[in-house]
Amino acid sequence: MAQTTGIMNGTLLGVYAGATPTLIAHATESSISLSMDTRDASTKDSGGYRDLLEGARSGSISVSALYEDLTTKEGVDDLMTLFNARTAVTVKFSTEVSDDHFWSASAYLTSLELSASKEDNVTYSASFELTGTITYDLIS
Amino acid sequence: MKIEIIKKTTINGKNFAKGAVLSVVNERAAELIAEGKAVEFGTEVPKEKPAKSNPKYKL
Repeated sequence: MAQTTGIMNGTLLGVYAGATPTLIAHATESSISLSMDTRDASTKDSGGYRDLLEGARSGSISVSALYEDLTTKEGVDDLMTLFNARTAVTVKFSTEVSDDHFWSASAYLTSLELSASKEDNVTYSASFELTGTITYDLIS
Repeated sequence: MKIEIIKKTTINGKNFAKGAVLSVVNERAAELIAEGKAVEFGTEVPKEKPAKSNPKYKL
C-alpha cells in the first residue's frame, strides 16, 4: 500500500502493543502525547522574563476500546498480563501503511481502566508511559 | 498488517490456531509469512502438497 494522502482519517491510526506488536482490538480512540521538560534558567540578568533550557523528553500513548472477553485478540487479557508482569513492551502508534510515519518506543502500562454501565458497551482505556528513545520514522 | 494464521503458532505467549486473524506490525507479519505460519489476510492459503508415495512400497 502507498502512503496515505490527504487529511488522515483517525480510524487508520492504531496502537500496537506487545512483544509482537499487535493491534489493540475494538479501539475507538487512540492518542500519543509528547512533551519536554524545561529547566528554569532565569536569573537576575533575565530582565524580568523567564529563561528556559531544554530538559527530558517524554511521551505517552493511550487507547480506549470496547471490551470483548477474548484471548484471541489483543485486549484486556494481554494488558492484564503486562500489568502483572510490570515489564516494558514495544508500543507503536501507526497506520502500518508503507511510507506513512509511525511513533514507537518501549513503554510501561501505567493505567488500565474498565467501565461498565447498565445497558451500554463495556469500555476500557489503557495508558502507556514511554521509556527511552522515541522513534519517529517512515513505515517500510 | 492483517494476517491469517495457517499453522498453529504462538504470538505474545498465546497459541493461535489455523484460521485465526490478527493485525500485527508489518515487520513481524512479514516474518510470520516467510516462516510459512501466516498469509496476508484475504490472500489464498497455499495448499499443502500431498505426501509423495514411496515407490518401494508401491503395490
